[in-house]
Amino acid sequence: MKASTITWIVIGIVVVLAGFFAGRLDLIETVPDSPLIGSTAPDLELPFLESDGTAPLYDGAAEVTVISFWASWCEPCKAEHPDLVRAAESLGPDGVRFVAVDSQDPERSAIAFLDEYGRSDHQEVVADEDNRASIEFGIWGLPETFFLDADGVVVGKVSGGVDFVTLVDLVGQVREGVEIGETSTGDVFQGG
Amino acid sequence: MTARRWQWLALAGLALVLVWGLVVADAPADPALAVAEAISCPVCDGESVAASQSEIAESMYAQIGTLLDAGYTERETLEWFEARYGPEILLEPPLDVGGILLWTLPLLIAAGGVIVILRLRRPVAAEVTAEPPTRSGRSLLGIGISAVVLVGVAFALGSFLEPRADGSPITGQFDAPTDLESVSDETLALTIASFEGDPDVSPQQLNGMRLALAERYFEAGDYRSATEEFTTVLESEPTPAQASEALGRVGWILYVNGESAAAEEALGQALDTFDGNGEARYFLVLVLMEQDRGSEAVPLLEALLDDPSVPADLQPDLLAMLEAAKA
Amino acid sequence: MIAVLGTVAVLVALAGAIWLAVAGLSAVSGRTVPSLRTPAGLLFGGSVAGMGLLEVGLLTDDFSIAYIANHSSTSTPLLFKFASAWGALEGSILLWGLVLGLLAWLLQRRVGEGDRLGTVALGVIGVVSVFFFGMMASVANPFEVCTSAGTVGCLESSAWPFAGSAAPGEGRGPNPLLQNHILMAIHPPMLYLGYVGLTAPFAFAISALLLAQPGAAWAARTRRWTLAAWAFLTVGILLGGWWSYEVLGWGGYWGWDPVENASFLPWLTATAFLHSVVVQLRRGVLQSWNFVLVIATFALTIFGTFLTRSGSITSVHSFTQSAVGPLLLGFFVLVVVAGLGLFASRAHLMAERPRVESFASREGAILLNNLLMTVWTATVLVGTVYPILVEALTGSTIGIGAGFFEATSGPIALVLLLAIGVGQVTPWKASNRDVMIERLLVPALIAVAAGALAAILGLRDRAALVVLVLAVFAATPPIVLLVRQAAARPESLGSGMRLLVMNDRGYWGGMLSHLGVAVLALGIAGSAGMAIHADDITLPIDEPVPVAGHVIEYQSGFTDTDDQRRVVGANIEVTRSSATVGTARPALQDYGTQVIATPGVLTGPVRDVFIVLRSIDSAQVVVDVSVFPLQWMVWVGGFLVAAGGAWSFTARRSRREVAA
Repeated sequence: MKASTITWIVIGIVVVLAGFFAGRLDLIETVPDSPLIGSTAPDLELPFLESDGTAPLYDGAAEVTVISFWASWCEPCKAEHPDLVRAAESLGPDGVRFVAVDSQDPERSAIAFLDEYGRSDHQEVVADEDNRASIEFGIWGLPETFFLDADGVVVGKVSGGVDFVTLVDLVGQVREGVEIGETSTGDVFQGG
Repeated sequence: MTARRWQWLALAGLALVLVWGLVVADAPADPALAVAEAISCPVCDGESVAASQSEIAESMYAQIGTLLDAGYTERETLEWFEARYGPEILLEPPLDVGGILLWTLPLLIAAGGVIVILRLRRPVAAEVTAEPPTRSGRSLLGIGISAVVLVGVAFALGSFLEPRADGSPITGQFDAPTDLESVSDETLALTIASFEGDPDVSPQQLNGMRLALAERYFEAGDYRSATEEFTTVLESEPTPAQASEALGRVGWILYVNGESAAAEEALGQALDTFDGNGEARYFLVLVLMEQDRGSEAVPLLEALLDDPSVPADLQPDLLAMLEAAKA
Repeated sequence: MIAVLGTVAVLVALAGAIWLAVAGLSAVSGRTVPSLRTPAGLLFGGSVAGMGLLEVGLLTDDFSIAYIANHSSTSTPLLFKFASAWGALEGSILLWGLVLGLLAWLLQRRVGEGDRLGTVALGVIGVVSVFFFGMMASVANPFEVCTSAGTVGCLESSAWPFAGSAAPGEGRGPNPLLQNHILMAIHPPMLYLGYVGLTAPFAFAISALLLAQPGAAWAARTRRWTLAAWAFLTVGILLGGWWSYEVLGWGGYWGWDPVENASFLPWLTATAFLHSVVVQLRRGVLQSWNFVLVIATFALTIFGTFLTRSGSITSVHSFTQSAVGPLLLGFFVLVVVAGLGLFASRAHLMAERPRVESFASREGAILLNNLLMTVWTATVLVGTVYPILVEALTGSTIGIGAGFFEATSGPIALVLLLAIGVGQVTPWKASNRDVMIERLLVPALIAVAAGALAAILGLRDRAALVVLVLAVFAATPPIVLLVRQAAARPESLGSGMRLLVMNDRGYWGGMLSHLGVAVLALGIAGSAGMAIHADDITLPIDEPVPVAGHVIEYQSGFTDTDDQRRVVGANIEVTRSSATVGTARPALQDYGTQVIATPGVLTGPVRDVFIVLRSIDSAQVVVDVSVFPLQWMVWVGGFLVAAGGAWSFTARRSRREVAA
């Protein structure tokens, strides 16, 4: 093969590869799919953030469990938290359990965050001691929200902030036995 | 026994000690570190758990230790994390089609490079073929690259261990080279420099070396360095033949650089200095032919055809040019 | 005012660049081009003025300029205000432009009338400058005025210098990581001097191709530029590693991060070029290959910049995503298509006949060097872009960690060491057995003896033993050769050696670099291969704790507060075999937005003790302790590599002195 032929082939390859890069330029950052969906959620007990005692992530009784991972430094969490509180207020008495796991966060800042963005009696806020839950659930960014069915099986996950309507809709689907799978709202906050 | 023989013996003895050292060596491995380097920190920008200082990475590092202490193997520990984060957490490219291609690509490039390089040799060299890969994984790559490259090294080593058929060996005294052909350019330049001002070496002898060095530059197309050497020759009491050779080649360099008039003058001077310089005459012919001044080239060509020092294989070209010049 | 003047300066430089490009390239058609002094002067002058104005703005806290409001602050220490000029995207492009302007100006002084090769080369530099100053005049304008001020920093800005300016009272300040160490102020300029310096051989190569003069003239004329650029690039990469070691606290200096790879790739190809160009100048071979190497090197510098600036790869180095990314990618494609396309269309002129007589020669060794360098470049390049390809094709994100690069680079580097040992003393054209035995037997003896001695003394790390033997083998042949040649001279041994090294600087500079590579290899084998880590060690105050062969004791804490940060650190005394090693002072620097754990490093001739603070209170500290054997060899070795380049750089002049 002549040198010029080889050169033109190399040029062609480089241009095609550059095309791939160009396609990558305006890609939205998303987090990878969770392999946990379809399997039983990790069994963990975590201490309450603001009181003594511990709570299991899945208590064996709730019809649906919504486990949300958050931190005070996470921007999308600030938008999401009031909606989570509202959803807990309205769905909590109806057999839906809300657990908020404070991850990678100093206790003081987390409490200040709750002071500002609200609490609910139907939301159990636990601290992720030694990041056990974050690692067991394979957290890539914050916020991430997991949905467990009555048997404690992970049936869905939302990466990024969720709003009230989405929460109610997804909880409804879980009740009907739908495996809701992965959803991304595109505003996952990575940092740390 | 000669000193050289003692050196070989010492080398062999020490090599045995070294082999013993390599055999008894036990690479102290830190499995936790190895796993941490193979897992990416989920919240960081492209850092591994080992490299990241983030809190979550610290916890993951601790978790790796816990798992290893609990009897997990390195592979099982990696799988534990993969089962929670997905394959994206692994920093090792997976061994799918693309992954295997990735691991073998360096090997393919090395093989291609070896083939290209072998074709650069003047007499066609012996064939070297790369072994096809039979194993997969990291070890394959390491072995493979080493194999291809070692073939190259062994080839080079092998061919220098074979004594050259012609040319006398260099004695190791670099300031007295017996065979200018086989000395490196630096050594030659250095030798020339070291002889400058030496009363035992005549300027003409030095000029001979300079011309040999300049010829290499000239052949290699490094006209600038060649001109430097030629100029020095012309300035250091050259013999008529030396001056003529230098002038002739300077003339050719001038011609190549587009300065035809100056080239013609230099070539003319070369012939004036030493009429037996067939090369300069030949260059002058080329210069004249290029400018369609065939009639002036005719006597030169006739002289060249009569010159016994002109290589025989040039004769047909010269005859053809003579035809063209007359027309 | 600075915004107006700065914009004018950028536009003047852009005008100079356009003029230089048009006038220079017009020489391709055979037109005689008058001196390019004026356009080169405009380009250089404009870039100097631009950088000067940005510095004035930074030093006077002129927050009406958005760049300054967002990347500096009143409380930033003076040195880091100064260095903020290249701490972020727009400023770094201005620095790039400044170095380009300097290059154009220096080259212009060596290009006379009628020098078509040089004139067209200046035109090519003009084209590159048009691109960079064009970016500054459009998407990466360092002189945008702030039109909407926040309490801290600028929220909106405009490129129109007369737009109503609103200066915030305080600037955001540079990224804490970048105002932590003096090395951060000099690492980027060094790297840019290297990157941009490599434009010179590229410009001359393109010029030679355009003029269909594929001889060795372009390479001969740019050899010293390439050497200088390569030495700067070496220093730049080295300083980056040093900074990472001294500041980042993860205990390493090289992580195979995509951006580190991006600076390493052109270094590899430039190193290959430095070797192969000698083969062309001496033996007339590799004419085409040198064109390919030079074009690839320049393309890789642009590609590396793209990786850093585009946000398409996540890395500790990346600036935020911006419009510069697509432009750099486009320019990269242009360089590849135009450069290699031009080469392909001229390839028929370079149908060189095979003329390597024997591979057992210097040129054979350099061919092996080039093969290894090419394979290494391809491996690192593919490993770096592979995750992006996989994501583009399958949508799944994967990462490639240090494991892949180490597994592939290790064997290549070992064979390179062997090739250095043999190749550097092999004569040109053809060698023979007696000469090679003469030159290599003693070095082999020394190398194997060193390995055997280390094994007897208890070195039980297999990789380190292999590296030790090969590194000593690579380092000794030139020393043995030097001593023998000097001994055969009439002068005393010392002055003989001095004369040899002074007279053939090209060769001995190369040998110095090889020595540096050998030292570097030892340093890497020691510091990376034989490191000891002990994490999460709790040290109660005043209680000696044995860790990693040392005894360490938390003696006292210290705090230091300034406008920028609050520093809390510990004085930790380190002893080894009851001899005091020193007091390490690891600290946590709290910048409010970010806490940086600055390690305490105790450097010694045998090993570094490296302590990172995890947490601290008055009763105890928690630390990570690492021991890095032979760490200093990494820095000294890298420095010697660059110093060898600098020594070779002075070679041309010395040859004239020899001739005179």
